[in-house]
Amino acid sequence: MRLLINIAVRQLVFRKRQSLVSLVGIVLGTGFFIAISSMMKGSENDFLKRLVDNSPHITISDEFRDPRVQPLEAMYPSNAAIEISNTRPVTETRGIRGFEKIIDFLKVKDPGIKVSQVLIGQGLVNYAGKDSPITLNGMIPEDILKVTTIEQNMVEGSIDDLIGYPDGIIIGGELARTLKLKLGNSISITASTGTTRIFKIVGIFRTGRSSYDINQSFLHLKRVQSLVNRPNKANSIIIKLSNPYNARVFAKETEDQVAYKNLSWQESSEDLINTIAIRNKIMYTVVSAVLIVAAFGIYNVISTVVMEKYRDIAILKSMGFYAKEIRIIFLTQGIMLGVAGCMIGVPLGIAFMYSLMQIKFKPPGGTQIIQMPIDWGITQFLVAITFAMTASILAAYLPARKAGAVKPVDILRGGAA
Amino acid sequence: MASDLEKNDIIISTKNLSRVLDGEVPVTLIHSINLDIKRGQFVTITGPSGSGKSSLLYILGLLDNPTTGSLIIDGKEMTVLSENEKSDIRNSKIGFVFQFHFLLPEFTALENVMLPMKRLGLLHEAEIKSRAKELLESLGLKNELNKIPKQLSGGQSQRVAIARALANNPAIIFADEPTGNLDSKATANVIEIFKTLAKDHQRTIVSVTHDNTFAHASNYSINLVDGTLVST
Repeated sequence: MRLLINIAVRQLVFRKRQSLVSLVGIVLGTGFFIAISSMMKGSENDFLKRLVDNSPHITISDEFRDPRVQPLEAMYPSNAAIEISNTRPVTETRGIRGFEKIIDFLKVKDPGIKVSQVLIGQGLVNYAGKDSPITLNGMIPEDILKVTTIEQNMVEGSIDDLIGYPDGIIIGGELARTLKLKLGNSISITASTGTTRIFKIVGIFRTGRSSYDINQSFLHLKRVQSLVNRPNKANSIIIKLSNPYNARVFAKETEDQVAYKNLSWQESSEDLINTIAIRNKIMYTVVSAVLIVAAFGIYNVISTVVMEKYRDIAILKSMGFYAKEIRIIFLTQGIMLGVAGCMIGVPLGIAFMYSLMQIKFKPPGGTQIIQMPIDWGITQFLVAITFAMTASILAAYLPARKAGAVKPVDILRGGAA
Repeated sequence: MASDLEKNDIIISTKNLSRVLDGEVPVTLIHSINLDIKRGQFVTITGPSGSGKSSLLYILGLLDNPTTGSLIIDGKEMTVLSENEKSDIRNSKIGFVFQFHFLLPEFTALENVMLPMKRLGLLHEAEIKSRAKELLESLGLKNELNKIPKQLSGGQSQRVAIARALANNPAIIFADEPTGNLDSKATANVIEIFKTLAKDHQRTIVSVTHDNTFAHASNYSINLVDGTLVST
């Protein structure tokens, strides 16, 4: 066995250029695979993370998926003998009834859940003679930290300032820009009920979505309740699950229990999730193409080497080497190329990943500097190594089998050197 | 004549040995060859091109299989052996020299001679090395030990190939036109080596040639025409 490995190594080292070419093929294939897949995987994670983090996993709102029908209508369906025309849906009182009970129920169902009641109201900001419509999210400030990612997007001030100051408000950066508002300015907000109150700006956030940044604001729950004149009411429950990917099933189950509409993030952004699914298919097609080309390179080189080595194979056989031993020689070469290719290719891939991480740019017309998202998961490394090794061994095996089957007579008799 | 003793001394014996190439029109390479070769003889196989002399040599050397007939080497029937068993016999009992030296280009002269011994695995590395050195030195290649085949002349390469054929101390050496590619001086050298091997070391040498000088130097020639033995 040592002799066979010795012969394999000698042949590889002796044919420096060819060995190098096939090595470079494997190295580049592995390196590019790792870089591309980490980038694609990273951007997918990034995208989903934005989607999952920036929106509630489930929103329970004070609506019903289907408007509730009058009891009379339920009793006499439209195809019955008596038909009552012009029935309207039942008039519902606004707000979620018994939201405290629902919250208790949810906490039992998923112990890791983060849940918060919200009263969402509409209002107008009035500042320096300008009006701007605004959505008022009335929340318990501590809950804002738990169920939203606004804290990460704060550019000035913080949620903590809101906790300590009940007349504070947190607004978006776009609103601040259009109205020339600064931290510490006071603004008056008029709710749809006509009530007006003065709030002091204690924080400014910027998510990058301008409609969100101009429209949304966060306030104390009690203040919003008094502004819109609905004491002790909440009209939404925002839920963050311990596993966001359970949201669809979870929402379906709770909706059956509480009757109010449960909207999971998957349901509210179905179109985007479909886009991701298509993008994934495209990514794997591209990456597989890279690897198939690399594998074909290995096959090509080793099979050329075997053809050029027919004479040596014949002479080794005439010396008494078994077909199996000849196969081992060429298989060893494939394995060595594969191992060496991975050993250089993986660090190369990591280097690619690092340099991709250094790229920072501002998308045209954008306001934020963004970075390439890179995924450092171990899976893609394992996939790359597995593929490179399989490709090298397979690419070497086919020519090796051919080498083992060489009949010395056919080669030696010709005699051509 | 002490016929018993002579019979024991026969190292290669064939009976009705034939080789037919399959195909739409089967081609007979050799037809019903019967011959006995004694130990320590230097025998040449001669005949015109396409007469089947190389075919016969490769079958005797276990590199090709006869279609019918029997081949006995050193008292054992060869046609019933598996490929691997034949490989083992080639490794331990047979040495080959070809028209072209067929040395492995990645290995030095010394390493080329060491290869068959390493494959056999009977000796230690150090013993293998010293035996390879002795062989090369006895063939006048003292200064060429660590050269790779590219750096050797045709005659030198052929002598390295002979040393390699002798590595495992084989009973028989088969040679296919060993001087076909050499000048007259190198040819004379090879003839001399073969003669000494047969006479002083009791090696059996069977060589295909169309070189008359070479054929005359041997103990006797086997003459083939159209795959059939004409005279010995």
